[in-house]
Amino acid sequence: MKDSPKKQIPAVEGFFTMPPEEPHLIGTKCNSCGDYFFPRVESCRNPYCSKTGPVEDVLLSRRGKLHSFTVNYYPPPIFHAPDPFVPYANGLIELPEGIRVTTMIGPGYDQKNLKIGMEMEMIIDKLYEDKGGDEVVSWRFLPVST
Amino acid sequence: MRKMREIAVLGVGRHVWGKFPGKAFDDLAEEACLTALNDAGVDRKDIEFVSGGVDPYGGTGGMALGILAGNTVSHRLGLTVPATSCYNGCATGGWALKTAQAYITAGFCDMAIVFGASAPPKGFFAPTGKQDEFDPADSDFQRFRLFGSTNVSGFAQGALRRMQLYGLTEDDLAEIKVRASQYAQFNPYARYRKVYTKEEVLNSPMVSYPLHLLEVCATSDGAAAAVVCSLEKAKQYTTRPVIISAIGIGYTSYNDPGYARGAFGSNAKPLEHGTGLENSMEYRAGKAAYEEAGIGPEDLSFAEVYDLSCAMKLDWFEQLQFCKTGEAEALFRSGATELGGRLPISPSGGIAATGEAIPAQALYFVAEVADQLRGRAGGRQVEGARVGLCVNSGAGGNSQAIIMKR
Repeated sequence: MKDSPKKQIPAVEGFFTMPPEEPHLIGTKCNSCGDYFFPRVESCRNPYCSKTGPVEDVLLSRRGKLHSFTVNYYPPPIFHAPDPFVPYANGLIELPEGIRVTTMIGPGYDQKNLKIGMEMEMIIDKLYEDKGGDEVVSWRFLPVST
Repeated sequence: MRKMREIAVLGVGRHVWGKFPGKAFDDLAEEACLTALNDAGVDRKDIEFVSGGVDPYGGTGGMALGILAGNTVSHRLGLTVPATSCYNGCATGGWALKTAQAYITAGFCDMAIVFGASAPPKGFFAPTGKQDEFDPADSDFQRFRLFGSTNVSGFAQGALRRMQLYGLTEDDLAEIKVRASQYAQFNPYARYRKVYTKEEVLNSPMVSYPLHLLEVCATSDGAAAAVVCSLEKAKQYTTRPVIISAIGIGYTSYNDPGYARGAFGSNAKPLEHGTGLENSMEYRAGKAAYEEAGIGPEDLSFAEVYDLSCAMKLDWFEQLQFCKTGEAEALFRSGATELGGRLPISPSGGIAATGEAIPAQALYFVAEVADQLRGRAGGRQVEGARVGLCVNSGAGGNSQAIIMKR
């Protein structure tokens, strides 16, 4: 009997495009003021916008700049920490659309490899395996190799 | 916002900060309130209004006792007057005070008691149930689930920016804790009164780089209370009351550079509205308070800042206009912000000394400033203290700067 390939399940619905499509975060653009939002919104949240829309969902840039980061040595409850445990990095990416997005970074990157302002690129990767053995996936950003 | 009239602080009370397994939040609150009444020399029958901070951990499973904190504690004090409760994260105690200020200055009452108390579980503030017990649409739950992002993780990202942009060092962070501990030894309300060495700080476990365990606040139990009244009423009790000149409110802005607006990130775009310091809720609170009190940072005798991490202490130097952006490290290293310096900052030892009891913490500092202004701060006393500032900063976008004088 052949092993069936592991199914990939998005950790949250409607936040990002799933493989085999190219991975993108899904945001919203206000067609009145041009501002972008993530996660998606139903109406424009820019207090300086003269209207509250119309808004449309858009795919956000896969690349952005590292705004800040940290490496965490103690995982909180709820989080499926790497097993066996290794410290994990998370941070904020500033996208060209003018929003900062919270993200996991790595795996495999520690503070010595990361510099504020460096170019980062989004991927979809396993967050944890659920009880049925399927992969629960989410977004991460990695430094762009130059 | 319109300028509010001044009110007086007749008395304050604090339970010592720490962990007290045998005590519920309302046990702590009752002690703090009775101390405040005694300090004020006010009979409880003269209290006309109770304004309490909600303890989200109070009561069984976070049920009514903690949410109805105002009523719960009112009953325990034997009061039968209007009571209300509010919650605004770390700004809760300050908002309880603001509520009383509004009631008094609007003429609804002359005298009120204000309190905040909390007895949270140990460890990181985090969702405490199981994965499948949470609403997937709860963005704060998703923050923990998707990114393992604790509050300390957010503090660390702020610290990291200071390191890479402004030259903050790990040595500075440890020195901030060392100096705070030297004041904490004189603070009878502090949870941590041990004087630490730099080596002890740097050898404590790394929590979220670059912050070590001894450089972030611990979740703590605590309670603080104040008896406040109109200036007219205060004349019946004292000729020299402590006066609250301003409670400046800073709400988060569309492009607040902090981390307050959302669990998934924030807006960074509209350059025409500024993207710098002036958009932070902390800066806006300080500015509002200076305007309301009609003074500037140069008029302060001292300040107590909300140092949830050692790096956040330096952020406040800039947010409260003690120096320009990027200059807080130099100001700290100069010694000007130490006891005996030009502007002592957190001579109590700050939150580094107490840990944080969320709904009580802002009132802890109000009590601390009141004690300084009355010359009751012992080994941490600021000589000739006349005008003091204390601040708080709450999740979701609440910040306050409170200016007091005597």
